[in-house]
Amino acid sequence: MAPSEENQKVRKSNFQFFTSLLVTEKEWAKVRKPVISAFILFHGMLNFCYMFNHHPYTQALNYFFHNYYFFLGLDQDFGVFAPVPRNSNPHLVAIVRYKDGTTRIWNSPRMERLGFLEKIPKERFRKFFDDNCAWEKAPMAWPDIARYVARTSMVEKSNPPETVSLIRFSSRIPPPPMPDDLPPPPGQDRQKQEKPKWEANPPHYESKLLITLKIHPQDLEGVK
Amino acid sequence: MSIKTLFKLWDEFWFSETSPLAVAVFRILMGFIMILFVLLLTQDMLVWFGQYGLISNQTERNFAQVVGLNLLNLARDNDTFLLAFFVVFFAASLCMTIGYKTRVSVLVVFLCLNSLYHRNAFLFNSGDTYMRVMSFWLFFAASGNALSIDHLLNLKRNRAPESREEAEKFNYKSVSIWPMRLLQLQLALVYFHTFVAKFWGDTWVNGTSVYYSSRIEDLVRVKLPYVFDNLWTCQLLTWGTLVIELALFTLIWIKEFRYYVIALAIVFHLTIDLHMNIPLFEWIMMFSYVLFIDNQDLQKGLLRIRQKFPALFPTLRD
Repeated sequence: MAPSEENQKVRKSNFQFFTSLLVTEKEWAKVRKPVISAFILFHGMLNFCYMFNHHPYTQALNYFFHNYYFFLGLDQDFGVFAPVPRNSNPHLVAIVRYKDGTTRIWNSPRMERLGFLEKIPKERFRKFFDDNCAWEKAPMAWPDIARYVARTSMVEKSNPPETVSLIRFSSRIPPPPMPDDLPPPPGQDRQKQEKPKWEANPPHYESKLLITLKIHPQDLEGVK
Repeated sequence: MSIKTLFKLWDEFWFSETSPLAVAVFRILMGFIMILFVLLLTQDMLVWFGQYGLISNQTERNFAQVVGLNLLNLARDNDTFLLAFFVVFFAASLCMTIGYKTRVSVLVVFLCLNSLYHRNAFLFNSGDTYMRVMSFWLFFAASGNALSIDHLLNLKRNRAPESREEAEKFNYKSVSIWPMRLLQLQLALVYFHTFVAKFWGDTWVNGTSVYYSSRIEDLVRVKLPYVFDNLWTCQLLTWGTLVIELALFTLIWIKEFRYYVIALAIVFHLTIDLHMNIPLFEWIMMFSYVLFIDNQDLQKGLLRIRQKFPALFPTLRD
């Protein structure tokens, strides 16, 4: 078979993949560039409006096309450590109170306490808890998390969990020792000033009760 | 500049032709990442996506407020279906890597990524978003026209547009460039967005962002001595990050600078990967640079690799 015929065959199969249901090959040859250009411009515009959503016009466009954009999972945000990195270290704790009044403490995985290899498969827990659900940006997730904790904390059927409280413990990262821009006090030489110290991260000293959820029998479905 | 010139430039940029080699290499590398992605998620799949997992279907829908393309909705709250879904996802990732039924497998990978995103959005980072969007653009690319089982089968049936000899030299028939341009622009867009989002942040201006990010306890993989305990190194790395990210959507397009920028970016991502535990993120970004490598250089590189590891490149036997 001559190479040109082979090319034709391959090209046709590619062509068929996209367009045979809609237009003929001849028609496609005519509209190909305008259609692809429109596709590129449309998605370029959507990306721009979604990422730089600071103007009423871009917001209006986002609102109009959001269903399509979200449906296909094309919504995107790459503001990693932006505008500033997180300046606190959280972890989530749940207190499970059982029917007989006893309590049990449940901890979300503490990544900093895991070994080098253990951390890799558990990274999603960090994203889920420490970046998202431990904070006020995801309150709708708290009841589900509390129910999950209740299910996983079920020990005896006769003594089911009655309430679950989610508490976020956190601590601020101490600010770095920046050089003092002000002149040194009179009589003191800048060179002789004590060097600012680099402090280690403190323990998670702040606590915040996120939710206390009463557990109903239907919340414990699926417990074996 | 006339409108005619603009149209000509547009036409050249989007509608010229290029070898499918770069997208094919990218497809293989991304396929490896997808296999690892599935394996890493599988062990906790019931926790993240199961009927009695951390987040219910309903909560996710309430959070999103709009409908997403989610195959898991075909059998909601069904853990057996979830298991089957993961098996299909793994198989599609494997097929994508080896290039068997390439376009379909890329489509399935995209659908699976999208479904998981719509099932539990709290779980995914920017790297996952990037993979999802890249798999969407990759669907349009002729990534199966090189380094694939599909291509080998076409060669065998004499349906490939190039001869076996040409294929052995990684010399493939050109294909439309616009899908590769979309992939390249998507990569540049990531750095553009992250650069602009950071540029006005206080800690990026005073040079302490790297200090703060190095002290996010749950992210640390390996503590690097000295580097994050001195102001000058933290400031250098903070501002250096901005410079590298700026170069990755500007200078990377200029041929003379491209490889220097890529080399710098690889060092940058490897450093992050060593220090921070964000599996796969840095690797998918580094693998994407292959889209910017000149076709001839890629051919030379692959020929060298084949010389050393011939088993990696299956060939047809008569």
